Parts: sequence; structure tokens; C-alpha cells
Amino acid sequence: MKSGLGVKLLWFVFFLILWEIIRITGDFSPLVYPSLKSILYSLITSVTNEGIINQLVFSLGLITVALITGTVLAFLLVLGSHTSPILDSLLNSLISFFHPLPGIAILPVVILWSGTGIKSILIIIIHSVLWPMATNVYAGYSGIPENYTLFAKNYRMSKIRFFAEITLPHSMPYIFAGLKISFARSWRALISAEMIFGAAGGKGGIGWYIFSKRVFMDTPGIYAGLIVIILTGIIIEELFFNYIEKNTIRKWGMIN
Amino acid sequence: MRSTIRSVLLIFIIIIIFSGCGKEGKSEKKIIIAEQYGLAYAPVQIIRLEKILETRLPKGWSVEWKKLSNTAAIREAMLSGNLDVGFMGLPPFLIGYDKGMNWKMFTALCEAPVGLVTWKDDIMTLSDFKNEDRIALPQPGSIQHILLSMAAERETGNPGLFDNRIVTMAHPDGMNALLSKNDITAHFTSPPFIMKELEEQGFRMILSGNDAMGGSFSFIGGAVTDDFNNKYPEIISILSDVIGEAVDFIETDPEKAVSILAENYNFPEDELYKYLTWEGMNFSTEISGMNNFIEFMHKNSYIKSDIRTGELYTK
Repeated sequence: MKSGLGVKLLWFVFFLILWEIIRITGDFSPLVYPSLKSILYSLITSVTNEGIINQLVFSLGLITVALITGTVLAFLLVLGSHTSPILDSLLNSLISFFHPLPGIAILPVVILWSGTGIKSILIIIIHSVLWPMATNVYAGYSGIPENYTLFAKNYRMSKIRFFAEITLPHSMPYIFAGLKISFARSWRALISAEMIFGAAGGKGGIGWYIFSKRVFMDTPGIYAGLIVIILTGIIIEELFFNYIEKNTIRKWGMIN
Repeated sequence: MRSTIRSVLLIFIIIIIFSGCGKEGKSEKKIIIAEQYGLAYAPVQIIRLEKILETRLPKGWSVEWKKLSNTAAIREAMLSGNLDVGFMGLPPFLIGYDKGMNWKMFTALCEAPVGLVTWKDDIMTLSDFKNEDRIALPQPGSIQHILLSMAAERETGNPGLFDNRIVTMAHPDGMNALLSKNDITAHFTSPPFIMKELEEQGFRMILSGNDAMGGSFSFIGGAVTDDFNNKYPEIISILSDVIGEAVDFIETDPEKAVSILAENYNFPEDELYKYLTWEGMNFSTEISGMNNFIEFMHKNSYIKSDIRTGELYTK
């Protein structure tokens, strides 16, 4: 089920052509179903005049900060949980409490606690990163074969060495899976939060871009925003995650 | 190769099936009406709660009521054919008309005391806002946003001064954010939220809607799609009559109006009475202020075309 970047782009072009065919053959209001030309025009002016790229970089910057923070927190939680059974049950309970909570559902509470600034958006993204990440790291950590643990004990490996040389490499595939899920979840949480908050911190991200297009009834602009989100998702998945995966865990033969 | 052709065909079929969605016509005769949140919609709420329109429509007609949270949702519902009549502020109506929506205004509902409320002691005028101050309002392009831009232009010469300091929030959320005295330093809002805020210790109004506009104006109006209005002008004229009667009813007998409306709000009746008769809360079907909005919005590129008010109203 793996298709490369090229194939995905081919399908993308296929749908664009289909879009035009349906638009030309059907009788639609341009406010509902704008032409490809007007969408492309809107996309180009967004890039040249309205700084959609800056907004995108802003959004991705927030996600990067949240991904790093969330991953570190997840590791701390999992490491902590392995020091005592009480902490272990605590982490398990926390995960089952918070994992099913969509980031956007805690938005009203976050606004009450810390207002509507960047801090609140960060809290929401970290929330959507932390729990899937913790689940995956936990699975990776618990899946370490007993042989390794006994071996480490035998050699009186320090906790730090055990973490760096056994836990970390062994958890790598899980961390990657966790990163991918976390990215998808945080990307969605961020866009939804921006559409509700508006321009946090003076310049909104891509969600705010779509929202402002909507309130001014700029339908081609809405579609342009969606296309930017789709393309960003594809690029990050294909170029970033798959590239790193290929050069690390796949190269090391940890996954096929 | 054959399997490729087959799958492409399959995709086409699925898409064609889906593109047929939402296009089915209404079989029985029905008028679908949407209101939003707030005291300004009181005449419509009375008509809905007392089922006045239902009793006045010809035989075979029914009414469906909706409550949508913003005008963008109303416009979208109308475009998809799921809504005939909607109530909204004048600027969002103009934005839709400018973008090519086929709709007209047939009535106003009221003038209302809208304004900008703050809790910060050092803010007296718009120029006192600092970069880190945030203003909550429903959304860009809303009547609150346009009024704020009008005042910003008058006081500072720059209508877009606050565009990057706006936080979009529905009125109840905006009120909570303002009252918590966090990063939202001001809230541009309307009844009953503005009254609740002004009753709190230390909250002041530094700009009223009338000051921003330089005159009075209709706060909320009712719009109907051309489709519906051309097909059933008599239904719209019945609706207009009923709204006119509800407006008169609220103005002449507010006590009774409040007893009807109380179940619609979580307010005690005396509080609701105070809000409904608040100074500046005038229910009226006459549309006013449209020209000022058009002029300002055209000059500052919120709308592209120079609209004449005559083409905006039903006959």
C-alpha cells in the first residue's frame, strides 16, 4: 500500500482535471464551485501578496516546538512509569483519560485558564502530541525483550547507558510511528484552533487564513487554503518522515 | 490495463453519485428561516415561540426554524439551498451581495446599543490600545468589526489598525474571556452581553456603535434569497407583516414580550425586561444606515462594487 510522491501527485492532477470536467458539465454557482483558474489565481496571490507561506511557517514552527516538547514529556512519563508500579498505573490511567480527548474539545477550558495567546494554542497542540506519543513510547519500552534487560543487569549497565543504548534504539520504530500520528493530530488540532481563535499572537496560521476567506466569502481562497494544507501534509510525510525513516530504522533493518 | 479502466470508471461513478447530493428539491411547501444569538432577534424569537407565522401562512405551508452561530453559516446554507430567510447584521449582508449572492433585504429588526467594552484603566480612546492588547469580536467582516474599523479610521486614520489584534469569539465566549481579565482587553459586543459586562465593577464602554458610525443604524436585518422571493413574494410579505406586528408588540407591551421571551434565555424576567428596554434598544422594521456602510466598505475594499441601496431591497 505504499505509493510514492510521484504517484500521489499524479492522482492529485487527476482530481484537478475531474474538478474542471464536473464544473464545466454541471450548472454550479461559482460561489459554491469555483473554477480551477480562480483557485490557482487565489493561490498565487496568497503566496505573492498575502504571505500565506509566512503563515504556514508560523504554523509549522508551533508544531515543531510542540512535537519536541511532547516527545520529551512522553519519554519522561514513560521512564517515570517504569520506576514504580504506582506511577505506571498513573500513566496508564492518564493515557486512557486524555488520549480520546480531541484537542479542540479542551479549547474552552484552555481559554479560561490561559487566555487566547500562543500559549493556549501550544497547550492544545502539546496535548494532541503527548498522549499518542506516550502510548507509542510505552509500547516500545515495554517491548524490550527480557534478554536485553537481563544482559544489562548482568553487566551492571547504568540507567543512562541502558536508556541510550537499549531503550532508545529499540523504541525507534515506535517513536517514528508516534511522531507520524502526533504530527497528523497536532496539524489538525492547530488548524481547528486557529479557525476558532483567530489570529493568535498577531499573525494567524493557515487555519486563520481559511477562516478569514470564509467570512469574506472568498470561495476560491478557501479551496486554495485546503490545497496548501494537503500539499504540506504530503510533502512532510513523503520528504521528511519517509526520508528520515529510510536513512535510519529502515537502513538498520528494524522495519521492512 | 483493464483493471485500471475499471477503477477509473468506478471512481467516476462514485463522484457522480455524490455530486447529486443536496440537489433534491423540497417537495412540500416550506419556508426555512435562520436566526442567530442575541436580544436583537427578539421579534423573530417571539414569532417562533408563539407560532405566529405558522398560523398566518396559507394552507399547505410549514415553517422550519434554525439557529446558526454566524452569518457565514447562513450564507453557506442559502447557497446550498437549505435556507430561504436569514437574519444578520448589514455588513455581512453586503459582503455576500458583493460576492454575487442573489438575495435581498426585506426588513430590519432593531437598532441596538453595541459598543466596545474594556476593563483596563489606562484605555480611554482607541489610540490607547497597545500592541499586546487583544479585542474580541465575532469575526472579521461582522458589523462589530466594521464599526471598529470605522472608529479606527476616524480616530487614527487607519481603518485596519486593529485587524491583527482581533480574536474571533462568539459573544458568550468573548464575554467570558473579557470578564476573566486575561489577555482579552476589550470586547466589541451587543445586547444582552454588553449589558452584562457593563454591570460588572470596573467595566466601561469606550466606544458606542453610534459614535463609530456617526449616527444611528439598523443592527440586524432580514434577507431572503431571490429564488424564494421571486417565487413566493406573498409569503415574504406575510413574514414582513408578522415581523412588523412583533416589533410593535415589543415596543408597546414589553412586559408581555419578556414573559414570552424568558423561556428563551436563562435570565430572570426583571433582568430581561431591563435589557429589552435599555436605552438605544429600539425595535423597528425600517432599514437605516445602509448607505454609510456601503460607502465605508467600498472605500476600504471590504466590498468591490459600489452598490446602490435601491437594488438591495425587496419591492
